[in-house]
Amino acid sequence: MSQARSVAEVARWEFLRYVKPKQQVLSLILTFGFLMGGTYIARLAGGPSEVDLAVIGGEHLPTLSDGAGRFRMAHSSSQHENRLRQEVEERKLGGLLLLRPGGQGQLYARQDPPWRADLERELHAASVMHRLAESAVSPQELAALNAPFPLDVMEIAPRAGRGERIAAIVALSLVLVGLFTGIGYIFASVTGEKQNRLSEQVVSAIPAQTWIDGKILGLSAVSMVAVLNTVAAGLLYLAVSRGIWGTVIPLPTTVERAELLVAALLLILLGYLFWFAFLTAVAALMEDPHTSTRNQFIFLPILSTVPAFIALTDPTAAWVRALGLLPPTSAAVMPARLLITEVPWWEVGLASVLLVALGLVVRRGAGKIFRLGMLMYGKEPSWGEVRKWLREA
Amino acid sequence: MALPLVGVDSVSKTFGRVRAVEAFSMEVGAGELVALVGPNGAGKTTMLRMIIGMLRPDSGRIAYGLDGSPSESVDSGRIGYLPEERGLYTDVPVRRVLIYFAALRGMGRPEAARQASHWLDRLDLGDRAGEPVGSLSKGNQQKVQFLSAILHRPVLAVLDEPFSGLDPLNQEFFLDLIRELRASGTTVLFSAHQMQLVERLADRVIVIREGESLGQGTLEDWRRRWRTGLRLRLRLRETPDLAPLRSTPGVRDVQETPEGDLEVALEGDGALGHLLQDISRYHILELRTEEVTLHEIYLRAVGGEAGTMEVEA
Repeated sequence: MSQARSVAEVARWEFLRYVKPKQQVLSLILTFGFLMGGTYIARLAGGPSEVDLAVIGGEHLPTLSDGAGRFRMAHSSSQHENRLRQEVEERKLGGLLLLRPGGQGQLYARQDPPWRADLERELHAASVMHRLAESAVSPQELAALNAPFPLDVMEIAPRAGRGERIAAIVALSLVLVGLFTGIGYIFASVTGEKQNRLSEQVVSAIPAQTWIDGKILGLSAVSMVAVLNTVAAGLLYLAVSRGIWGTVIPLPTTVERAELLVAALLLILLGYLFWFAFLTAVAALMEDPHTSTRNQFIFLPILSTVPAFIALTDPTAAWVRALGLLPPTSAAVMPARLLITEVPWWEVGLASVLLVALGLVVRRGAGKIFRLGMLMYGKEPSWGEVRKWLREA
Repeated sequence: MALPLVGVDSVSKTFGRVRAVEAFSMEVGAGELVALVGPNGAGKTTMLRMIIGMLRPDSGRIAYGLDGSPSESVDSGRIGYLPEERGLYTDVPVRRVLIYFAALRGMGRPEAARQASHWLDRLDLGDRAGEPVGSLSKGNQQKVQFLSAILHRPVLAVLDEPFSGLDPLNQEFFLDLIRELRASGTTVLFSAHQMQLVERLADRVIVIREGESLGQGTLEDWRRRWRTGLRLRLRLRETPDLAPLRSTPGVRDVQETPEGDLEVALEGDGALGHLLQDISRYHILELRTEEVTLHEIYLRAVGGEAGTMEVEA
């Protein structure tokens, strides 16, 4: 059988072993549920959409309207203050606002409310209107006085917009989703096969390099499915939340440039292949992932994404450009840069070539380690032995 | 001269300071059922792993004639291997596991599926084909393990300790299975510790000790080489004097059993005639001949009496 066919057979096996339609649907529903639940909780933390307030002393601020923003004001007199405070305590009222002469006021609420800033804004607006009414300055004149100097800024290297930054954060989060998924399955697959004493049977049928190549491809595909599943849940969330709450997330301009997305995806995929080759070799050196100290290596791919998050603040800094070129950080930093700033194409090409080159070296070394590590039962090889394998095999 | 399926020529293998196999030579011809026997650590598994191409010899050469033409490289599609360290994907359905291993050996998926159905029915596991391997009993898992090694219809099946961990009933079952495999055209090379099974199964026996070959041949060859072809069990009315019996030409040993019988070990041509002459003066109640078992030959061969053997070159 040709090597390519064997690799495809192993990749197919790994993919079908871990990607099951029922689990994918369940995963999509759970991710969607978490997003919706998170948004709902965040909205709850922001307080109710409408707040009932009792106002005593409203005559001191007559410009405060009864329906200011999200607040519904009910005017009352000071003789009802105790009863109204009781109602606040019993949650019948959102708060009791006491307005005093001279532009001062007090708010009685159960706790410092999440809508306090909104109320302060409404009170400030009403206070300004009240003072304007008392002075000879018209609102138009005041607006002209407060208007900033009309300075047009012509950006030579414009900073990324909110949409671009959100897109980059989402992309990096998806990279992490894929990495976590891949790491989990690699360790389950490789150490499971070692513990189940399957290695000898497989290695007798196909070369170890073919086996590890198939594993890397299959588990990369599993990771991509996890990423796509998360993307699908995210799109569903956007559609539903827009319908329910009117949430609109600005889209980055980069989505209109397919070549940027393709380049970013390619680099992310190359990064997966690189890290999965590395981690498959590490897993082959473990007897039990729960007790082996070598499980610390799983943090390396996660750490490699940290510079990418920092890069969002200054994507053109020299150190960011360097980490965007050099593997393995380039797999995360360069896609982030592509989504938030203009990157010369030669940088993208160089980053890809370097990532592929180092990936091939790691793949070859991983194959050597994998071949002997998978056949070593009962103990973990020392680092000295691993170095020897790399030299001799 | 017919090309052997496998020709091992003076192969050696060392792990660190441990000499696993030393100048070992053997051949396996088409259609044979060959046993490789030896004590633990003798180098059997290392030798089998080198034959299937999993390990490379430090020196010597292994040649193959699996497709009728000589080759220095092993074609894994024509070899089936049952390792001593066994394991299966316990969370995967039986049929899928079998098809996967057959596909890795180069068999097309549709044909692998057909073979899987055939063999699973043959082993009364047809109705369990869709269940995870882990749900099967240990005996049935061993059947699936065996199938995973031979489903692709190899030219040569290399079985490392195929009877290990089996109860007597399953040992008989696997004995028949291996015979059936050979009858279907597959040559079988296996290692084992169960000499009574090897004796019943193997055409030829190769003994290995401390990595070196102590010889190879049929059971008859071994008996001839050890000149221990016959053992006699006698029941006499009288109690005989053992000393003259022991000095009879060709009599190697005479022992009295707890039941009062005599067990006489003979070696060399004409020994039986001399003995019968000597005991003709006694009243013989019962006389039985027993052949020396492979188990006994094995114990003597690996137990330090190798120097007395005439090892076939």
